[in-house]
Amino acid sequence: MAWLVVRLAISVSLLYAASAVFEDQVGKFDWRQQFIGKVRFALFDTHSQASKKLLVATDKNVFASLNSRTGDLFWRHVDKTGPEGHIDALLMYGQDAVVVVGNGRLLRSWETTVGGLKWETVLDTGSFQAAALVGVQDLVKYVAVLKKSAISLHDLSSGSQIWGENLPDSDSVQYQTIYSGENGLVFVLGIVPNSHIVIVEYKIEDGEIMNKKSVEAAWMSSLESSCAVVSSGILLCVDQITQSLYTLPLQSAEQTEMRQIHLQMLDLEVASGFRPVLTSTQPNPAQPPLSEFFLQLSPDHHILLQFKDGLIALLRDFSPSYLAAFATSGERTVAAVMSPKNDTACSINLFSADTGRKHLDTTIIYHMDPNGGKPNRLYVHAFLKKDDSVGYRVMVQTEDLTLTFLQQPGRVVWMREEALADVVTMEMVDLPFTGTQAELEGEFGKKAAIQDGLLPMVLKRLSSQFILLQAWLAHLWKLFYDARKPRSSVKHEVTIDILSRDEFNLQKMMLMVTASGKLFGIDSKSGTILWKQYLENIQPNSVFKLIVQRTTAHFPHPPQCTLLIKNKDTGLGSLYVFNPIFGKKSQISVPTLPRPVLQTLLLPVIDQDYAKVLLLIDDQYKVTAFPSTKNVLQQLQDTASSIFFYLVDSSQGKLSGFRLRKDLSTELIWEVVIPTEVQKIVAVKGKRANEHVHSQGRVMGDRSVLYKYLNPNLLAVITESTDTHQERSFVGIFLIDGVTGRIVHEAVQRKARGPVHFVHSENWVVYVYWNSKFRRNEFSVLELFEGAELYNSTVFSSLDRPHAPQVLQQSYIFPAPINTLEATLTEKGITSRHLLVGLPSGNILSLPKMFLDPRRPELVSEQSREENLIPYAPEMPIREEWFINYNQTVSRVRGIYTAPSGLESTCLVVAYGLDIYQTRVFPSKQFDVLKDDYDYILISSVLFGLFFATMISKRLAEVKLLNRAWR
Amino acid sequence: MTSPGGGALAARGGATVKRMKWSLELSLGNSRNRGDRQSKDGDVMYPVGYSDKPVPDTSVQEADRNLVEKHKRQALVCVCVCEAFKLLESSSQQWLQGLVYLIGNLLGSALAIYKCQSMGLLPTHSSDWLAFIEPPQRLEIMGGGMVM
Repeated sequence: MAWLVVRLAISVSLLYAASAVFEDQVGKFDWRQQFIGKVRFALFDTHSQASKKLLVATDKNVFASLNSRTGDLFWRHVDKTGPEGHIDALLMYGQDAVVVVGNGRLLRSWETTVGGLKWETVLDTGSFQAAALVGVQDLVKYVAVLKKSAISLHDLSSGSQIWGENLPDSDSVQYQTIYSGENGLVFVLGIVPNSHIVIVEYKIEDGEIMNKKSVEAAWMSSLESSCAVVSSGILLCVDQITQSLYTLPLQSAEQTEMRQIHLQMLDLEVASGFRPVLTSTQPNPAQPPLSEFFLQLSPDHHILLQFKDGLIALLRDFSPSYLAAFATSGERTVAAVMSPKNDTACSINLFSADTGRKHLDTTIIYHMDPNGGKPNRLYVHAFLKKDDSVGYRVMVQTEDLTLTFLQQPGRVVWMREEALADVVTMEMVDLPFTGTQAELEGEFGKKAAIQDGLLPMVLKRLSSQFILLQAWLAHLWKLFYDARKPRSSVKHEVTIDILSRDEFNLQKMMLMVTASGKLFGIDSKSGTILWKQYLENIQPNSVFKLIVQRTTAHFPHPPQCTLLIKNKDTGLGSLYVFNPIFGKKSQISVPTLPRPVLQTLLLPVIDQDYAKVLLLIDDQYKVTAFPSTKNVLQQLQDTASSIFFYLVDSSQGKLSGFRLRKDLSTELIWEVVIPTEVQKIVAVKGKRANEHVHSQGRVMGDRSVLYKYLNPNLLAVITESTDTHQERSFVGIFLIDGVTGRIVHEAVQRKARGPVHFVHSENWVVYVYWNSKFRRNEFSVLELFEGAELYNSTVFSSLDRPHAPQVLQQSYIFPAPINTLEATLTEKGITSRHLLVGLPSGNILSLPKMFLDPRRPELVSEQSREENLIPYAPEMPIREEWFINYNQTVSRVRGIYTAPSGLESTCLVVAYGLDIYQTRVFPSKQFDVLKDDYDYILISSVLFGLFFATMISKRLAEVKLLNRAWR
Repeated sequence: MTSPGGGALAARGGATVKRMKWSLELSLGNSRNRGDRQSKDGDVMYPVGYSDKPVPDTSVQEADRNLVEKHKRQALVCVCVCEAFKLLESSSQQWLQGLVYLIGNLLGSALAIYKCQSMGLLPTHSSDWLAFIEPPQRLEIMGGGMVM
C-alpha cells in the first residue's frame, strides 16, 4: 500500500513538472544556428555542373556539406573532439569523399549527396603523413595512405586494403609526401633533413619496390613545405637561402642530383625572412599535374610560372597580390588571384592557367569588412558557362573566420560567421528604449531640467509629444503598407536602429566573445548578428572576461561593457571598452596595465556617470580602479574596509583572501592551503551577483520555518584527487566563506572522479561526478540551513556568524553523462528553480530542483506530504518532455547562459558549443502570462453579451414594473 | 444580534468579510428599491400582504455592516460597549449585568479565537510571516576567482 502511495506521489509530481513545448510553439521563441568551425579543407563538387555541394572539413573535427547557393548545411558530421577525431586529409573523387581521421586511425568514404557512410577501415597504427588518390589508366581506383613507417593502398569502392608495405629505413628517413602519376607507380618521398631526399617507387598492383634512390639536398629541411610535383613527375623545390629553384625528374634513374635554377635568371627575388611557397595543381588524380604553378615570394607577391622542357618560364607576375588559387572545370584550368584595389576592397580576377592571359570581364570586387580581419584563404569554384567561357565563384575565408561566398561582379551570396563555433564567454544586455521613448526620458534628465527654464521645458514637452505622434503615425502607415503586400514578401529584417526593448524585456542583446577574438552583438529574438568587431593581435590562448559596467538604464549615458583580455604567455592584460548595443569602441581613456592582472572585481559602487567600478588586481596585489575619477577614489576610500577579494592559485593549491586598504594596496587576511600532493583545486564558484532569493526559508510540514543559510560570500571549491586509481580517487567539496576564510563545510566523495560540473546558488550546491566504483554519474546536492531561527535578519556580515549552518546532503544516480550544468534565473527569484543540464547528445534537460532536494524522505510521512516532498528514489529520471530544445540539439554544448527577463515566470537561456541555441524556459509555467491559445474572442463576446443582456433586461424590467404599476 | 457573533464573523478571515459585504450590498440595494417604490407609489399600490414595517432581517444586515466597520476601526467597539452600558443604566443590578455582559462577550471572542485557531486561520506560525522577511543587507563586498 505504502509503495503504491509512493508511486502515486511520484507520478503526480511528474505530471506537475512536465513542461514540453507544443508543436505549434516550435521556433516561436527559440532558434538554433549551426556552425562548423575554421575551414581546413574545402572542395567544390565539380562532378556535375548543377551541383551545389561544397564539402568542408574543419579544425573542429567537423565534416560537412554546404549548399553553395545559400550557405546552409546539407549535412554535417561531428566527430570526437581532440586528436581522436582530427581530420587529417580530405580527398574527393566523383560522388565519394575520402577522409582520414584521427592521425591516420581511420579511413572513411562518404557518399556526398546525402552524407551517408559508404565504408570505414581501421588503419594500422602509425602517425599519418599524407594521402593521395591513385589512378590507373585514367580511372581513379585506389587511395594511398602514407604513415611514418608504412604505406598502404586501399580500394576506393570498398575500402579493403590492396597491399601494405613497410617503408625502408623508416627510422632515419622522414617520409612526408606521396605522388602518383599516370604510369602505374606510386612514389613515396622522404627526407633526411639537411642531407638527402629518398625516393621509393612502388608498383600499384602488388606494392613491390621497383626502385629506390637518394638524391643530395643538403639545404632542405622539409619536403612538405618547400616542394611540389609539377608536370609529369618533376619534383620542384624552392630554397630561400640560395634563392633558387631545384628540379628533379622522379622517374629518371640516371640523374642523381637536383638541377639548380637561380631565381635571378627570372629576375625574381624572395622577400627577406619569407618562406617561399609553391602551389601546383593536379586536376585529375589519374593524370599528372599541370606544368604551371604558383610561386609566392612575399606575403603580397605571387608569380605564375611554367615548367617546360627542363626550363622555367615566367607567365605572369602578380604584384601586389594577396591570394592565388587554381580551379578546374572540365578540361580548363584557371587561376584566380586576389589583389588589393584600395584600402577597403580587393579585386579578384581570373587568368587562364596555361598562358597567364587575363579573362575578360571576370572581376569580382571583394569588400573587406572594416571591423573584420584580412582574407587568408581563397577557394575557387569554376564552371563552364553556356557560351563555353569559364565562370567562377569564390569563397574567401578571413582571419576572423568569416566565410564569404561571392559571385560576379561582387555580390555576396552568403556569409557564415564561423568564429561563433567557439564562444568563450557571453553576456546579455537589456536593449535601450526606442528613440522616442529615449527622447521622453531625456526630457526629464536632471541636467536638462536645471539648465532650462519653464517655457523651454513646455516647448520641449510639446515637441517630444509631437515626435511620439509622428512615430505612431509612421508605424500605422507601415502596418497599412505591409498589410497590402503578400505575407511572404514582407521581410522581417532586424537592424540596430529599430531595436528597442519590448514590453516584458524578453528581447535582449547577446554579447558573445569568441576564441578568435571576434565580438558579436546578436539579437536574442531572431539570432541576427547586429554588429561584429574583430580584435586583432589576440593570441590564440588568451583568456577573456566580459564585464557589464553600465546597463541601458541610465539613459543619457550609453551602456558600457569592458572586455579584459589576458595574454597567457606574457600575462599582460588589456581592456577593450565598448558600447554593447552598437559595438562601437568607447572613447573613454583606459588604464594601461603594466603588470599581469590576476583577477577583477566589479563593485556595486558607481561613479557619477553611473558606471560600476571595476577593480583589477595585479601580481603585486595592487589594485587599479577603472574608472578612476576623484569621485570614485573618494568612494573607494570610504568603503575600502568592507571590500574583500579572494584569489585561488590552483598550481599551489592556495586560496587567499585580501582586504582593500585606503591607498588601494591590499593586505592578506586569510589563507587556506590544500596540499597539491593529495588533491588539486579544479574550480571555484561564488554566487551570481544578479541572483535574487525571494523566500528566506522553507516552510516545514508543521508550519514552522527552516531558514536558509544565505551567505552571499560563500564559495564552493571543488577538488579532485591527484591519485586517479579508481579505488583511491575522490572528489572533494569545500564551502569557504570568502571574507573570513572560514571553512563552513567540507565533503568528500570517495571512489569518485571528475570532470565535476556544479552549480552554486541560493543556499545549495549541486555537483555531478563520476562514481568509479559503480561506474555511473551521480548528482549530489548540498543544502545549508540556519535552523529554526535567523541569527540576524536585517544585515548579513560574514565577520559575525557564530553558528555553523546545518548541512543536508543527498545523492542520486543520473543515467547519462553530462557536459555542462546551469541553473535558471528569474527577476525576483519567486519562480521555482530548474537545473539545465547539457547532455553530450546535444539535448538540454530542464531538471526541476525539486528532485534535487536533500530533504526528500525515505519514508513518506504526513509532514513530508504536507511539504510536497517527493519520496527519495536513487534514480533520477530523464524524461523527453524535459528537453527544452526538442530535436534542435546543440552539438558539443560547452556552456549554458541564463538571464532573467522582465517576466518573473520567464528565464532566457542560451546554450552554446559548436551550435548556438536560444530559448525561454518557464520553470513554474507561465503563471503571469495568458496562454497562447487564450480565447480572447470567446471571453470578450461573452462579456459583451452579458453587458447587452443586462441592458436589455433592465429595460424590460422597467417596462414590466411600469405595466404593473398601471394595473 | 450584537457584537460577539458579528466579531467572530469578521475575525474569521477575509473571505467571510467579503461574503458579508456582498450580501450587505445586495440587501442595501433591495431596501433602496423598496424605499423608492414607497415614496413614488404612495400607500395605494401595496400588493397584498405587504407591510410598511422594515423587514426584520434588514436590521441584522444593518448591524452587521456596523460590525464590519467596527472591526476595521476598533475604537468603535468601545463606543458600542459604552452604548450597551447606557442601556443598563436604569437597572438596579447594573454592575452585575455589566459583568455578565462582559464575560459573555469574552467567552464569545474566546470561542471564536479558539475556532479560528483550531482551523489554522490565525497567523501564529512563523511560516505565516516568512513572506515579509526582507533579504538581509550585505555588509561586505566580495569578489575574485581563480588566478587568470
